[in-house]
Amino acid sequence: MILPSPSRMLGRVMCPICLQWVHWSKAQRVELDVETQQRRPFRARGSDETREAFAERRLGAQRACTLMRDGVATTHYLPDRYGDYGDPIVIGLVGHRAAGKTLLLAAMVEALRSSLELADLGLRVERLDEAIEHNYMTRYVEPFCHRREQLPLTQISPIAFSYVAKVYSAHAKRDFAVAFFDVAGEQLRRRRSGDRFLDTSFLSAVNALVFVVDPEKALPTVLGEPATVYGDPAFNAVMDRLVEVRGESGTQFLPIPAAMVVAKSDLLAARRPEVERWLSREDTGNLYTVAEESEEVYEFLATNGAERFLPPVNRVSDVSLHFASAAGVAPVDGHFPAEGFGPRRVLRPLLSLFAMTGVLDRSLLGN
Amino acid sequence: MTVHIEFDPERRFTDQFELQWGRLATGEQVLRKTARAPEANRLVHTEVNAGNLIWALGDTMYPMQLCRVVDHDVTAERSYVTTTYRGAPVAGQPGAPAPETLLTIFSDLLVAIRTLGKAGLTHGAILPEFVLWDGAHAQLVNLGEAVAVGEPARAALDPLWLPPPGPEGLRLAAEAHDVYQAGMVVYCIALQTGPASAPDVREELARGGGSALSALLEGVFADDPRERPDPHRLLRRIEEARYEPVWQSADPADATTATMPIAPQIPQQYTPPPAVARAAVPLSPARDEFRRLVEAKRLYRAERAAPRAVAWRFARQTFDVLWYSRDELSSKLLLGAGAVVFIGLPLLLVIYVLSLLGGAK
Repeated sequence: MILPSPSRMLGRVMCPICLQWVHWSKAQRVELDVETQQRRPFRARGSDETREAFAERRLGAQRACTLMRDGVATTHYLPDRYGDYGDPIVIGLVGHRAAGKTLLLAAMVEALRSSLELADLGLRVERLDEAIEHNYMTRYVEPFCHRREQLPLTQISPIAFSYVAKVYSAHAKRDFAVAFFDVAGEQLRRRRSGDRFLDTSFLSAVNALVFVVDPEKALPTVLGEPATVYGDPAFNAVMDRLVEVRGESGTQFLPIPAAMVVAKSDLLAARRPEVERWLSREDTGNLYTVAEESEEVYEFLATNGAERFLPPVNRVSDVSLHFASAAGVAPVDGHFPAEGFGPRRVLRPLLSLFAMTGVLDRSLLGN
Repeated sequence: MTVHIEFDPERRFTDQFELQWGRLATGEQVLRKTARAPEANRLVHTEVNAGNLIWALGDTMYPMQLCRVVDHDVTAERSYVTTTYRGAPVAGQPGAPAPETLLTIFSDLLVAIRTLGKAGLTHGAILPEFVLWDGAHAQLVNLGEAVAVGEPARAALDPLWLPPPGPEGLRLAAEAHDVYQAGMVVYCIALQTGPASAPDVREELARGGGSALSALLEGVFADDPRERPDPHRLLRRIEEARYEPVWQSADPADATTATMPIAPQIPQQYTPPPAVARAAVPLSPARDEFRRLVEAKRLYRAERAAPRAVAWRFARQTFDVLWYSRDELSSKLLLGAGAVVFIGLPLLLVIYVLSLLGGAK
């Protein structure tokens, strides 16, 4: 029996930025004044406004969420329809600086918005927020996927939605709001400073995690560069925080699903046939092979000196492991060469997470 | 319905159909079957209807294990239907498939059968010719013989592919019918042999005495359809089998023939099986460790999904949300209590008095 969550029944949504329960139907709706560029309360539909014009204006609306701390109110904004579809799926990307999180997410989003295979899985993806969609497409997807530009390193900045989409699932027979958070690697390790807008508190609200393994750090021997391998401090910081906040007594597992992605796998494919074999497979939508791929990736990491990157795999309650490459080739002078450029298997980790979070049928994963 | 299909110029002809392969814009291979005979028109109509019924399953996605109708015209003089056609028939594959491949083929067929069942259909003609293999998965094609569940099964096939009739002597279309045929496909490609009657197959499997294949197909060839395992049970059996080392070998001989003699008569359409059986390949320690971890996680998730655990979490979360919203809710609770005291109780009193007065009369 599938019960709606208590928060959904009571009309509450957790704000992933400040961790407050927001009474969604009562959260103030605001819109941007084009002239002053200031936010103002959303105006009701006027008598001289057509239904179409009102719907168009609503696309730009947001919900205000106000956090009161020590007598000071700070307001941040959530997408207008973020809480309309029950409990959202919040996905956090974890990995150290320059691990490839931003490129991976950009390639993932591009595939999510344009892949035909999603329809075969009973998924339909639409934008949830016009401003976030436009911002993400122009800042990340278009420069990277269309113009093959290397993206700048993500800087420490106030926590905000990186990307958000509405996903209809034929399996669950409902829409989901799916939000992604991609923050700078070093920001994941910040001490709790009390500033919820900087110290990645959103990790306490995530429903799923993507751990991004950088082969240059985790597998230097495979790349022909003998070096000592240390674990990823960002992995440890995030796991520690989750154990403290979400851990349950009497079990070694954290009740959260995760996908571990060996990013930049194109670097490994040239040297290791097993990686090349996976990267060249055209089975993005075929999730039955995820169990097999997970085993191979685990074995690959464990037997090639990257076992220090595996603790999250052992701790989370559900996991899949993947080889993927956002670009398919290494950049040269800030640009990716046209030859060989293209994402490889970037959608599979996300589809695996969808299966683990109930957006897709869990049995699709084949284990 | 019109879709853009790039057809190959080459065509093939059978007694009933003109066959033409092509590709969709997505690169997916398709096969167009154009009727050349009145009987073929019926097959096209049936396939189109079956395709529509599967599409209409609002609660599921279109499974890759079944061919998908992408284009059709049943009003034309020569009706046609175009369906996806991924891979090549297992009937034409050289040698026996690897054990893991065999499990995948079987599980894919069962998923296809289950989906057809949801649409109220049985395939009715699951033969190696209609089971395609693309290197990763199987796809069941040719829905032209599909029959509604409960209707009499068609008898035009080779009798050796037909399951024994049910207890009343009737052959009615049911999931058990398709399960039998899927089992026969697996039996044939595993042992590289042709179809046989149910008693012969049972005898052959029993001769294997506890082999992995006989365990996998146990009950599938039962005479009484009610005694055959359903697809769900078989899928669970397959998942369990995947963890047995004998099914993980790269050598096809291990799982299927290691404890079973190869059939002496090999029909023309199948290639001979490998002669020598080899030992199963042991798992590496890392893989072994990972599988144990996956199993422990599965048990943990099952525990969390138990009704008691779900109810406890639900209650705790409800309390959390209510406690957080107590300020907001307290005014509502006061209002509610006030309404009960000032409106509800006087109303009850009035009703009580009226009922007393009515009783006095």
